[in-house]
Amino acid sequence: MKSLTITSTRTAAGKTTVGLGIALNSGLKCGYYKPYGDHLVYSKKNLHDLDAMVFHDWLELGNEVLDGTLGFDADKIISTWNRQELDAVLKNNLEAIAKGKDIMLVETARNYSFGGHMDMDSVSLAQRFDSDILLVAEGDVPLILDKVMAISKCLEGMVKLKGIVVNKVSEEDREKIEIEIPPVLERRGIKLLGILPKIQELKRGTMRLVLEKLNANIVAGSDGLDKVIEVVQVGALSAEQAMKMPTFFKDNKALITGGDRADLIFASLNTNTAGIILTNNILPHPKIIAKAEDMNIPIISVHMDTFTTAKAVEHIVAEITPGDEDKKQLIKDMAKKELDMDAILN
Amino acid sequence: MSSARTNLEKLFNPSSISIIGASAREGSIGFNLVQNLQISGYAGKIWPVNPKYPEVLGLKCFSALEDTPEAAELTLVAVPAENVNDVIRRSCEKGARMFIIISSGFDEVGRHDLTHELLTILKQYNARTLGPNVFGVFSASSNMNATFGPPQVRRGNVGLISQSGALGVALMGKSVSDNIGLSAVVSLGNEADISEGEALEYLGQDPATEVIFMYMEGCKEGRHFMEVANRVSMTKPIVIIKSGSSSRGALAAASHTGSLAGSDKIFSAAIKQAGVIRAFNLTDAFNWTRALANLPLPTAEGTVIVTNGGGVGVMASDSAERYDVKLNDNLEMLERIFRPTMPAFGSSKNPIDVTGQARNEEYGLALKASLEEETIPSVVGLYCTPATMDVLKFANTAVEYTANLRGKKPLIFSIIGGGSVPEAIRILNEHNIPCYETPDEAMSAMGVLYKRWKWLNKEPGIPEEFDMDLKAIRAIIDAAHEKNQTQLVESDCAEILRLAGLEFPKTAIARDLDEAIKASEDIGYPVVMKILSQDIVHKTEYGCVKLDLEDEREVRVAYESIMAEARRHFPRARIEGVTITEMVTDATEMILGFSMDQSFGPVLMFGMGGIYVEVLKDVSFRVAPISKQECEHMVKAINSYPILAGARGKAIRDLPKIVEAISRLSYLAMHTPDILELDINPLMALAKGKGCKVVDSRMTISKVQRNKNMEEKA
Repeated sequence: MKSLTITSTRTAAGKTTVGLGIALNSGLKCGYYKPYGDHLVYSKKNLHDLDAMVFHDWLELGNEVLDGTLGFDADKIISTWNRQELDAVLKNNLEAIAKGKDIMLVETARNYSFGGHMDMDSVSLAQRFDSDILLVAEGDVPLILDKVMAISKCLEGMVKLKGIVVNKVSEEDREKIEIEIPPVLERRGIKLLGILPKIQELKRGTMRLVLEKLNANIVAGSDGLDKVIEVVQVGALSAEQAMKMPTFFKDNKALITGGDRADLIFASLNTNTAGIILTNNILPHPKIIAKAEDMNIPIISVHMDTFTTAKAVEHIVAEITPGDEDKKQLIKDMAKKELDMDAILN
Repeated sequence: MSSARTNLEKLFNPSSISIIGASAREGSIGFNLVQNLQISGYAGKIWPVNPKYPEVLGLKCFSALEDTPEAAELTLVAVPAENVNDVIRRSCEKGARMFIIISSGFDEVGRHDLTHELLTILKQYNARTLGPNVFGVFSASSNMNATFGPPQVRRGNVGLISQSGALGVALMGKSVSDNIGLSAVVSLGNEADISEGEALEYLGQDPATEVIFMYMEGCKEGRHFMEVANRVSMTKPIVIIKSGSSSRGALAAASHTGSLAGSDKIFSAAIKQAGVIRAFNLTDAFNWTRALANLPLPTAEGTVIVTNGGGVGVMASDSAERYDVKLNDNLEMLERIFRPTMPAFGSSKNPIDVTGQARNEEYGLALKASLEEETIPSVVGLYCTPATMDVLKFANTAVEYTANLRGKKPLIFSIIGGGSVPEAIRILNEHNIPCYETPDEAMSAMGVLYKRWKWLNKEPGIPEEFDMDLKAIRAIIDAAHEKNQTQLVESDCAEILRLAGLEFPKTAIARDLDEAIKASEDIGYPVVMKILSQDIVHKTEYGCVKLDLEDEREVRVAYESIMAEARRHFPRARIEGVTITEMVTDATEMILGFSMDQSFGPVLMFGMGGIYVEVLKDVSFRVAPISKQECEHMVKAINSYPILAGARGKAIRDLPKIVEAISRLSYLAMHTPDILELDINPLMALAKGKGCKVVDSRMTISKVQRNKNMEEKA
């Protein structure tokens, strides 16, 4: 069984995006395994990894993909299995998932070194599964080269580094990457297997996702939770000033502000808004809540401050989620165009 | 004779008055004070003092206060603020002990130093003062108008107390035009010495005063005022109009109880408990005062409306519902009494519609019949002025037909129309038949009579005593003080409530997964799992609470999820394990708590709980301590009470247990001055017989120890 371990130079570099891009364009029966979870989703009294849920949904894989994740907490894994047992359970799980598949994609948690103290880092997993490593990199050219070269030296003689994919590349940086990175990589025989652009459309999520991920309280408009957020707006200005900002009138915005900012919330309700996220657990006047309910615009409330909430929401909307057909198509098209599939699969 | 009556007797009934700052200049305050005393027919000695004038309004004017024949029993001071304390000291040396300081320029402009000096002088000589910054005192019993307000005051049985000078003067004027007679008027001003409570207590004991009307802006000693008001309300109705509600305190509060209990809500709750009737506008205040001052209270429910117009009858019926006035529905009696008095097409169903065709005499007969019938406890008369009728004749007919019957039961009127209607209304008011311009005002006044009747007849109750381990409660609070905590940790908070006798769902602490599974099995599924860590406050928001776990698999999954979330969000938190709690199902989420108000002391709050508590604001307040009966009233006072009482086929909640929980909190609040705010949210109200259980609570304690009393009690 051919397998490829996908890891990254840093957390949230785009392992899942690259893995999905490969799976959706390979023309092969692809299996997916994420042994160590890092995107915990507790839903309907089940605990799954979000990335595994996406592969399960998009590739129509069996439930063993969801159940194969050993845990999300090092203490739990260490206390449940000793080293030998861990080897056995990982191999068993991989075999169960790989049944009937042409190729297995194994995704690590966070980055190439994460999980090292219990032998669940990228090298340990690749050795265990006898697979090559595909490294996803993100950042500016010097940073990418520093990381990739250092990692490749560590891998030497242990596992094969198949190549790297650079992700989230802006249009203006692309040429620099194309010119400067390959010559340095070639010194160590590493291939650049693709450059994936930064796509704004990938940063979109639903209010329901934000509600669940933030463990927020729903205040109004629960029927509108599946509206898609296309832009996140932080409401720090007065309503008058905010109304002068072009982004305030962008369709399907999510407004993040305090419940005491009645003017801004009111103005937001009167423009095209996907939802309102109230911070510091301050709720607005009941009339505003009633208006949002009438308009079916969700208002959710969190206890965090506006800055922390904004950071969290930015992260959440960038996540890939099951059922998001738009993102699926975007990733498929992007990967088809940008990834060297032959080099990756052979 | 009680202390207030003794202490303030010279303020209302002095045998001599000196006016320091009297003036011969027409229109000046010093002139008006002397003039009003003369016009009102004050029979005592009046000694104007001012070196500028040899005489004022025909009275000898003394050049210095030392020159008066003797120390006056009451001294009015109307000199610039800077000179007031000198005047007070010299007067005291001469022997004066009671003052009214008309002058302004003290606390209200930031001159706290002058007030401080004034109080020192008063204390030194054991003297008393009203004010500073007042318009004076009127006392009908001594024919004394020692104010610079209106010279003509209509005498009667209403005592007026005002914290506002300008409005107080205006109210005196309005009482004349509204046919409300005054027994006394007191302007309180800055209340450097004599407070609203003391003035109220005096008028409460004044034989000439039967109704007390107060205008208030603030309440310095809330609890004392409430006690006095409660005492006075037992014998005399008090109508209060209060302006000024602050939201500042609410913003600073940490708990739901604190933030919902704005100072105005607490004031409202407190005076309601004390039987005081609160008006929110001057029209209501005067309307109600007029009704209370002129009418006896009803002795039963079942008001009859007599009308000559169907429309106004319906309007009055709507208002009756709004003001909780129950209408008489004894159809047999109504038919028997009223049928002979009306045209064939009139209606003897309440409202009694004698129709617009009825002549004055027919209306008069219906009115007379309603007053004569013993089973009718109160009557509202409505009159729409027909185009062909003389409304003044109707007014005189109404007076004539009720002549010997008034005073036995409340009779309130409303006359609607133009032309001579104001004069007709005046005629009825002159004959002690309160008459208003709209049916709603009439019914509102009737509602107030019933409100007072119900308050006077409510079952008296005393706060319950509980066998609480106050010493153990104190020990928990002391330990928190030693750790400089002001927000008690959840376990301490729960322990205090347990010691107070409140019920909790079955709970166990589990240090690891195996213990969590065992605890879940021991308690019985379904269970709730929560992280146990002093460092994690917002447990739910960070995914550290899992509900409704129904088997071992779900406990395992929940445990892993909680631990992973806790470590992700709080990598440095000290995690002691998890708590496993019985899952409370089929319960109504309530909120119960108290907060320590600076003026009124502990204030209890009860209402609908859950996450929307601050949106719905369906809560009721009471100043602790309260009796079991008052606890029941508190429960019934919320809008959602029908839900607790089993509306829409839902099982009735365990109301006795809810009442007991409130009662226990009332006792706890009175014995733990260190607890500044306490929220139980939610308090799960289960079905009848199953109790109510505390699911979450929050407690804020004082920074320094305040509970010495509790130690003695313990």
